Amino acid sequence: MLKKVYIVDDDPLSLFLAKNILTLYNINCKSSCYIDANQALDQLVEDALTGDLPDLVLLDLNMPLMSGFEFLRRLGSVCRGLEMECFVAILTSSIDEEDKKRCAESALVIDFLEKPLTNSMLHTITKAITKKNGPLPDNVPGREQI
Amino acid sequence: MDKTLQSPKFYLFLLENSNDLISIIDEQGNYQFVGGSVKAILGYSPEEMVGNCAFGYIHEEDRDATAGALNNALGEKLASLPYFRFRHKTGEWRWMDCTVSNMVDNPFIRGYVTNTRDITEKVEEERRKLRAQAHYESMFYNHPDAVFELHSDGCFTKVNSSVSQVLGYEDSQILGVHFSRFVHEQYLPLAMEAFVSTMQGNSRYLELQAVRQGEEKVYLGITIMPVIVEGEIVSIQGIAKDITLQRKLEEVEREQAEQLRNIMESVPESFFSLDQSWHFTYANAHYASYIGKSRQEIVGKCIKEVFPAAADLSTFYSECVKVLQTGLPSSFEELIYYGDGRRLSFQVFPSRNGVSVNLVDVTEKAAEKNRLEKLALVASKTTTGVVMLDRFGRIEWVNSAFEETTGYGLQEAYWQYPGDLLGGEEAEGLVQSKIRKKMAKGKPFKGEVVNYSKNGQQKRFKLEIIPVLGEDGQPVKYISIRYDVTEIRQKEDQLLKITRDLSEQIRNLQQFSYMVSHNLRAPAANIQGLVALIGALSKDTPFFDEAVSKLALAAGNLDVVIRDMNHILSIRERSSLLKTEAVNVLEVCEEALSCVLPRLKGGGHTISLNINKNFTLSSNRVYLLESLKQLFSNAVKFRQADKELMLEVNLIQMKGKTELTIRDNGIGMDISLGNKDIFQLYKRFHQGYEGRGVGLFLVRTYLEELGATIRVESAPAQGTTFTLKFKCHA
Repeated sequence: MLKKVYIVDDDPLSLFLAKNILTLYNINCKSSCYIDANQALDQLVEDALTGDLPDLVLLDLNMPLMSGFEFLRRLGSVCRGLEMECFVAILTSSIDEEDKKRCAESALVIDFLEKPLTNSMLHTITKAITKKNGPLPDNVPGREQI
Repeated sequence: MDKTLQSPKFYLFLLENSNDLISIIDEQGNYQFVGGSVKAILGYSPEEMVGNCAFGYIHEEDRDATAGALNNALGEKLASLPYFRFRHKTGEWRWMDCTVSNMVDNPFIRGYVTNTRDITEKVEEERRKLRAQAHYESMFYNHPDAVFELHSDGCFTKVNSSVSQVLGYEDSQILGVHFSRFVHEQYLPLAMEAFVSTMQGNSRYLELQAVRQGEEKVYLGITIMPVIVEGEIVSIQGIAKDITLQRKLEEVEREQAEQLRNIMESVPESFFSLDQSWHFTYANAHYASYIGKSRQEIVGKCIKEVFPAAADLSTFYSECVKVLQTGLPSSFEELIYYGDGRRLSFQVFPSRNGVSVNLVDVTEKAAEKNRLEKLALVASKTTTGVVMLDRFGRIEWVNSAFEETTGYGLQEAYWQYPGDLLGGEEAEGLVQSKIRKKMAKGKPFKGEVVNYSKNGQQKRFKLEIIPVLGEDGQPVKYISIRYDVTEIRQKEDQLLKITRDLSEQIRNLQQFSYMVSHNLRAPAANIQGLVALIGALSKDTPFFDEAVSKLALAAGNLDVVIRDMNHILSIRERSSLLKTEAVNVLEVCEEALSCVLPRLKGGGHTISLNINKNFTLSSNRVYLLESLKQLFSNAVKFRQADKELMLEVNLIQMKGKTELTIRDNGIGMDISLGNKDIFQLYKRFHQGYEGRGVGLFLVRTYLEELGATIRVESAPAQGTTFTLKFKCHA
């Protein structure tokens, strides 16, 4: 089950929606909303240093100041530096194939989701993460990456 | 003997047959007695003369001298008179030698006895000898050439005054000295041989070099002959002539002749001479090789025999005859038909015994001339600009097409460098230096250049420069060919611009459709999601009402995007109906400001509009107003909270362009992050400010429709400057 999820989107409506869908899916999931991608990135760096990375980051692509692609680039270099892994799922209203291709180039991205977020999407992602990482321990609030 | 001595007849007979004339004269000279031999000696009988005065018979010229001598002799016993002339009975004068014996005291005689002998023959012989001697001496001493006599031992015995002049020595330094002392050693054998030969009785002429005092050499032509006395050669006489000058002249003449011969033999033209019967007297090597015969086969032969083709040369024959008759040279050309027909150029000069002919085969030259004439015709009639350059790259000739395209005729262009003549501010220096490098290497150049015509018009030419190489491989000339491609390039440029504009528009459209689809989808997706969420929530949950209100918000967002689309499309749609008018820029700025400034709500501001109040722009007022409103509104919106707004608008007119800059002191932005995205739809650069990212997209859309461009300069906290560039001003 997903315990800790960050949602990065410039649209407050989208944030509201995603947060509530997540809560509906998993009542114990602790989700944080970031309307400013920079803040989210700062938090992730801090999490990486304390070993408390979220299970998943839901990332919008089309944002002012820092686009989703720029976010991925920076996060990627942080993770490589710390030899850690962080799972990102793109959650966008874009249905552009080019965007999809660009995102697939990033090793962090495990899925490309078209808005709106649904239960079944969350289910698929959870399964994918489990497959990669092994079953998520229910009672442990975070994971350590070595 | 004693008996005969005593007979008077015996004495008379003796007197009568004597060779001498014996007579007795008195003191006055009158004959007292005349011997009988007078008849034989003077033709008179003694009786005719006795009683007459002897002086009457003596030559007038000799009379005084004879009388004087006789007078002197009267006191002597015996005296000799000088020779005198005595008249013969025939009237002829005879020379006489006379001795007078004083026998006055002799009782038998009582007078002066004269003993006279006819010496006419002897006197005449002596006079002849004297004359001969004078002749000889005159010949010897007065001869203008150097005359000398050598003893049989070879030493000088006699010299005239010219000898010392010729040899440069005093007579005393010459006389008694052997001749070999004065002969140049090179000529000694010759001189010795001549001397010996002459001593054997042969006269000789020889030429040798003598050495003057001071080592100066002098050429002498010497005639020597033996002097024979009584069959014996006693000495040698010679006459020497200074022939140095003559020798030098001969030398010069020989050299000149040699030079002339060398010239004639080395010039690559044919020379020959003909005598009056058309026979060759001379032919140079070139002529011999031209007609393919040896000189021996030519000289002495008739021209018709040597050169049968000459039979066709009717002009040649008639001209030669004319030259012979008039003595004036003649030059002409004639075509002869042998082989493929040759054109010959003749120059005929009169010479001593005929004519001298200079012959040049001008067939190739004539063909070349013909070819060049045709080429020149082509070059002058073509529409391509042709220029001939000298080896330094200076213009020597231009054709009329060059003049038509550039405006420069040959007079103005002559001796100029094309780069100087046609270069202008935009003529590419790189191309020029490339051309110069190619030309210096003697390699052809092909490329395109920007040139300026005389009236300042910019022209594009396809330029080809072809070097003409000399025998040494170095360029002696260049031919430059210019095709005017100005129009083609202009059209190409237009096409290129259209293509660029089109692809830009396509890119913009793609961007537009992407953003539209994304921004349409975003609220749609939200609606979908919210609907699903609401469906899953019970009405009692506190989120339910919030979700419903969010649903309304999402629907509103969708509506806004649809309105934006409508607005943008309407701008594009209306553009075809756009009215172009003279827009007063200052007025439009003021109007835009009056719409925007109230939003400051009384906040302080400094506005400066540096625009000429009469300046108008050929544009559309509404679109310009909308653009300015948006830009000014941004300046108000993104002002620094702690600073008074400062806004500066400047208008700069440039060649064919008008630039409007709008500078503010607002919060600015890091444009390196978004670079040109700033003018794209739904792009936002500031968090915490209202806005959908539509304003600058609209500004760009308006300006594009007006044919204007916009660019931005900005930095965080440094303010922002927008520059609007309009193509032309009204």
